[in-house]
Amino acid sequence: METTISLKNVTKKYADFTLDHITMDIPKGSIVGLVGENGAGKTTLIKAILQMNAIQEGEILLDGKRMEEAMPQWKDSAGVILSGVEFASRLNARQLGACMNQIYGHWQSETYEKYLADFQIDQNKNIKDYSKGMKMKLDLAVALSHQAKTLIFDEATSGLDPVVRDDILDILLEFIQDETHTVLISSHIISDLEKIADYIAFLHKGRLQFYMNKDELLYQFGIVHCTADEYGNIPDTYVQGVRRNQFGCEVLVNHLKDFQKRYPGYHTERTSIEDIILFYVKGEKR
Amino acid sequence: MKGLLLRDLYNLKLYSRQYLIVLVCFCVFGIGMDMPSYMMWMSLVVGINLSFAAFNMDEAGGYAYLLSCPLDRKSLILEKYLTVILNAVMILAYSAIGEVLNHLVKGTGTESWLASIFAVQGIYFFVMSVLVPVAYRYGVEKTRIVMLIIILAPVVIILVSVKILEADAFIRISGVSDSFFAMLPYLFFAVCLVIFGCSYLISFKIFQKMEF
Repeated sequence: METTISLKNVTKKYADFTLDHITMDIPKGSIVGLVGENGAGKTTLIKAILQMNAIQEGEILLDGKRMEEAMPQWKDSAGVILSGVEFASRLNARQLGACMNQIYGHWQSETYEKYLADFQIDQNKNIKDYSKGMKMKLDLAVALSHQAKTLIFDEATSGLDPVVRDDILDILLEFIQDETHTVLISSHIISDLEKIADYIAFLHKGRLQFYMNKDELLYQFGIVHCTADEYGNIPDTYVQGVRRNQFGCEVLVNHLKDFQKRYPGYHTERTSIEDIILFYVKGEKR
Repeated sequence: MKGLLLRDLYNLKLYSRQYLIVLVCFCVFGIGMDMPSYMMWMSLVVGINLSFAAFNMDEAGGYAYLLSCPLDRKSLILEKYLTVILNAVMILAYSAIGEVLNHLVKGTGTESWLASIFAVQGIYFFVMSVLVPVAYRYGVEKTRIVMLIIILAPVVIILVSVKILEADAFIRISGVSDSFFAMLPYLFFAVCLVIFGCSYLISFKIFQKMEF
């Protein structure tokens, strides 16, 4: 399988935080969801890929080339949306398009205008007067108007209403129909990623806890409801985390099918990605 | 880089009416006070402010956006220095217009205009050579404080020198040949251009290491 972005032992150190030896490959034609709590390192990782910060160790390959060789040309085929930044708020969409036409080598003005019309963006209104949703749609229009092969979104859907988020997710699903396209999207809104992601990468305190196919993740993990005594009988190899309450224990188990065969008497149920992450972050470890 | 220059031009257009009114006022004051150099010096202040409006925009919007585009860091720095040069051309054009108007209205001579314009352009490039790397390193807000210091420092130095230097020092200085004084503005401009070039290299080194 071809890889769009390949990270090998990527490490970035700050005084109080370290992105610690991240290794993962983002396959071409897939949507990879990057999840993690605030401060987990998602934005740091994305900025390392975009060469906005310098990594201390490791290597990043972009379409098979070392990042140092690939940049900045690689960004010509990448549509990037970062949260909280903008090109020039006092311009309007039409002027922004004129500037982007000079910046991107494959800018398509007709495509840009089509997206502006589809998103009902007023071309003559200053960007600073747009709502958050409109700004996001404008960023998306820019990202999709220069024949990008890769989309990188950092918290792009945060703070948006469900209707706008749903529109954006539909656009991403349409984008990925082309097997040469790739999406890397970081988000707190895990339900969005459950809808569209092929792979889920979970970062916690700068470390990659898991990077798995989404369906496999949901198939592999499950929750066991049991008493404290019953919990003691579950082997360590299955236990990923436990939460105790006044009624007993909730245990996140790995290899659910195997566990169900070996321990048919335990009450088990499917879980969600959000639950898996909560167990990893807040659950007790053995 | 063209896209960034276009963006700066669009922004300039937004403020063009205000700046035009300000410059017309300076023109009227300058002609009224019979001081063509007044317009020249005021256009220097406007030029510096215009250059910093562009910095402000980059800082406010976030350099991260620019770096998410297919632009290398060298282009970003070069574009800023080109903007400074374009503003220098604007100062030059405005000063020329002022000089012509003064000549037409008041009949003032234009002999010293060339020397004055080189001196003003030299000061502009010198000030920007200091302020641009400071802006990259410390941000626009702190740079405004440095700008005030740069403008006030020569005034303070001159006032203090007048008090401290012995009387005959001025006689000795005045003994220097007239031709040297005549060449001084042009020499000053040339030196400031060299400093401007060094400033670009310093800014590049600073920006290369910055993380966003």
